[in-house]
Amino acid sequence: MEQDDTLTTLITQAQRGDRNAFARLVELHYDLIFRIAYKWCGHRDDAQDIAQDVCIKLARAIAGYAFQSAFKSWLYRMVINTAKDMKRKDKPMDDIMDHEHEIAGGEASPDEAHYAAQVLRAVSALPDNEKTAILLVAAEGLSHKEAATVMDCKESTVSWYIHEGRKKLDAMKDSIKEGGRRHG
Amino acid sequence: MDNDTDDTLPPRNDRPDAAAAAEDILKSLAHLRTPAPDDNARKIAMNLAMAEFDDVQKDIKKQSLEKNIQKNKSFFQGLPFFSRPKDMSGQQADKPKRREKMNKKWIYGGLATAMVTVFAVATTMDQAPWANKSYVGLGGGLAGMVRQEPSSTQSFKNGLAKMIAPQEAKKEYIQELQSADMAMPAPSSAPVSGGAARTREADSMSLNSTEGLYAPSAKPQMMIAQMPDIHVPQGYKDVGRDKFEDVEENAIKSVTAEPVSTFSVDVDTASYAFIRKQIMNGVLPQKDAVRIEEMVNYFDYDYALPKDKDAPFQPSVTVTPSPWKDGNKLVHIGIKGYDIETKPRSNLVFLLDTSGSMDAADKLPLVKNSMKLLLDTLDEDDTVAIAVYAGSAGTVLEPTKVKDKAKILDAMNSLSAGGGTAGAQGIQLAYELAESNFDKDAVNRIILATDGDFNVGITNREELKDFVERKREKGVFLSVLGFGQGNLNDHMMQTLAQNGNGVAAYIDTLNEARKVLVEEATSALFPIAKDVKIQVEFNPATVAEYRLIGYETRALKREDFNNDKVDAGDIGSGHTVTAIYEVTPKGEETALGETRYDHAQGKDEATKAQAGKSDEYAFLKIRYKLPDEDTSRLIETPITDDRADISDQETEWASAVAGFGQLLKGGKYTGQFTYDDVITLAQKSKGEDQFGYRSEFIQIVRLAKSASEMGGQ
Repeated sequence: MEQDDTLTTLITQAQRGDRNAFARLVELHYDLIFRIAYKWCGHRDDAQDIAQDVCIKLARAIAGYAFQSAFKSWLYRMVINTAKDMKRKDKPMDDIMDHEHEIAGGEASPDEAHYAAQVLRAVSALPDNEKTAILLVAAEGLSHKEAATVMDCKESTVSWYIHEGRKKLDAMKDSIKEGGRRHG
Repeated sequence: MDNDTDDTLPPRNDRPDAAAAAEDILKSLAHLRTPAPDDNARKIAMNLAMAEFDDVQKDIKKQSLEKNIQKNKSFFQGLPFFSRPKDMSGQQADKPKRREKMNKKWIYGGLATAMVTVFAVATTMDQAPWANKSYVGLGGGLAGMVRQEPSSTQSFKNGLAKMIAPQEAKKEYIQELQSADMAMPAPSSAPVSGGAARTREADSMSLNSTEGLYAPSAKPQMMIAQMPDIHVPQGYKDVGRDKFEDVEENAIKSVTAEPVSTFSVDVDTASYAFIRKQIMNGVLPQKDAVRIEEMVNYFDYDYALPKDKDAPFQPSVTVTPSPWKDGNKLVHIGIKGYDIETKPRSNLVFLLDTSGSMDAADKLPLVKNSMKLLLDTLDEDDTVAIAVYAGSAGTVLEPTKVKDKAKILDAMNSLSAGGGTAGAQGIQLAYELAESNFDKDAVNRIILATDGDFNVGITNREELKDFVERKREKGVFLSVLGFGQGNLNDHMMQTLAQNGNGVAAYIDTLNEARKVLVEEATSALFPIAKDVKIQVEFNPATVAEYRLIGYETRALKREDFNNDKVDAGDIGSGHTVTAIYEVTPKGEETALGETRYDHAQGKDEATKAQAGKSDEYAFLKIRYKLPDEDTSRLIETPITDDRADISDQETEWASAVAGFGQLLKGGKYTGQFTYDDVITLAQKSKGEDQFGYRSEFIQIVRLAKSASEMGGQ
């Protein structure tokens, strides 16, 4: 498993109980965890909650990481599963459009922010597997192969999910383009 | 289906333009920036992770110790009183027995306690930034907490209890924990001392943390598949998750660029009650929670009553110097609604959240007591019904005349919190009850009491808003009362109340319940004007810049003012509403600076005409509708420098509160104004203070000052 040497060392140390190594590990990966959680659920507060859950789970799960997949892939899976669990808890997810100005980091023009929010909303409306595949490949830049590791399925299955997801996004493209601007 | 492994997405062979659209979408995903996570959220996540890590290490040590012990004492296994409580799912058979773990905690107690108390501080001191970045260094913050008044220690304990308590709404789990005899630490022992208490704290922490989790040696795939439903530790979810709309404070506007300011009135007071509670817990509120207009409007002002009942209110205007910027002025606009003499009948439905999370002392019990207080203000002929949502779902009481008070009280007393938020048809039921007893001459209102769960049967937010709005048009209104902390969805509360032509209030104590539901019952229940909008046009000849203090969430577009279809806030009987603008008169130093080009060039004729009214700072217009009319009426009046409808005492008080609110929001526009300045101004204008609310305010400012000094803000 070719992985950054320092990362491997850090993980091994953390597994052996080295507190500082573990802390460093969390520090290094928090942003990644938050980012993927955000792209999944589209809401900052929920993403923070998911990230928090994942960090805690990490403390116990790290010992079981067996270096079979890339650490990042392993993390992705944990984040997505946690995000799914949160969604399952019967809570209505906050409307992404309520937070559209967050999505472009507050620096984009209102139109850009609006479009970005529409996109995120459309993607978040996709079925879980298609959403995951699209986020991992299109948003995170993973290859189909890497995404397959995360999703624990065949590479061709990932391609299929993306294909299906794209079809649905096509269908939604009209609502994304002009996008009925919400009334305050 | 493609089998190639490159990174590009498989091409579509039909509808090429659609393919392009999807391609665009996917490309934009790559560029999608995510907002930065909150600094606090990051720190808290880190602390909790570290605490969990430490626990794991302890468990590992214990397990190896256990193995040695069990070799010799295997008969301990199987003894019933050592078996774990039954519904801890996912437990492995060889997990350490709870009793033995408790004893072993004495050995590891020290470190565990430090971690437990340290990150409990982290979560309760939500807003106070830490002095240094190391996690162990939180000791300073902890000492600070202990230094404070006993009430803060108690709330710290509450925070700790919440921290350790398992996830919200899982009542079975709560009961099981109680039966497992994990008593929370006694209030009398301070957090940093006391052996027994310390041990018990550490115990509950560890019990919680070994909850339903797999042994470390499991493989990654299996491990993730085994992620149990019960997560670790869930109590924190009830802390620091209050949701507020993200709001930008109103900026300074140039009169030549944007001469007209339009907004909807707001008579809600939720923000003040909420921040009061936070500050009394030793924490400064998050900036988005501070709505200055709600703070200012919390207090009653001595504005002139309307001259005759035909106009339900009349505006009072006064211009005063700005306390925080020499040269600037404050324009106070005050409205007092008349008190109706004969109350119409009330047809009320209490829609109460009875989910498990409502089990805290400041939630369901307070709701019940609040409702009882309200009951006392009603007449015999009024009717009350009770519906609940979540868990014990359904109608608890059909519409019943207040004459049968005993029956209503019985129904009220029978309520209990429990069960998850199953999304029972709560809200639809409530409206059905209201409609079944609908009386067009009465006030038909639903009073929704919740701690943040809006699982009222319609999960889609937009749908819920629309539903409430449609029902409002049919004559059934909705008010929202928020209780408790940590799960409050303030944004949702505000929106629903606005759509339902009702108030949104936050009730943290019985006293507040009394204020909202007794003293202000008539104003909370009986509207005298609806869709009240304010529009101010500033005179560019006399005013260079202006800034509306507060009302960020009530902003309207200029054209919304004359559009009767656009909804706005309502004024109830006896309500007072205050709005304050800070203005920079022409000739004074401006914040925005002079422009290179004279933008008023093209409007020469117009500005000359206006400039003729050189004694006017601005022109005030108010639109409102009488409760059963749909066409708005207009009130207009000029705002001149010499107008002094409002007494100095009242304008000074409003300024003090507004100043405090601005400090809480960061003090961007208040220059050198300090908490002490607020206190001085407030003490000067306290007046009679019949109910003590103003004295309470001064106390709160003092606490906020200490909290800000501690946090190094």
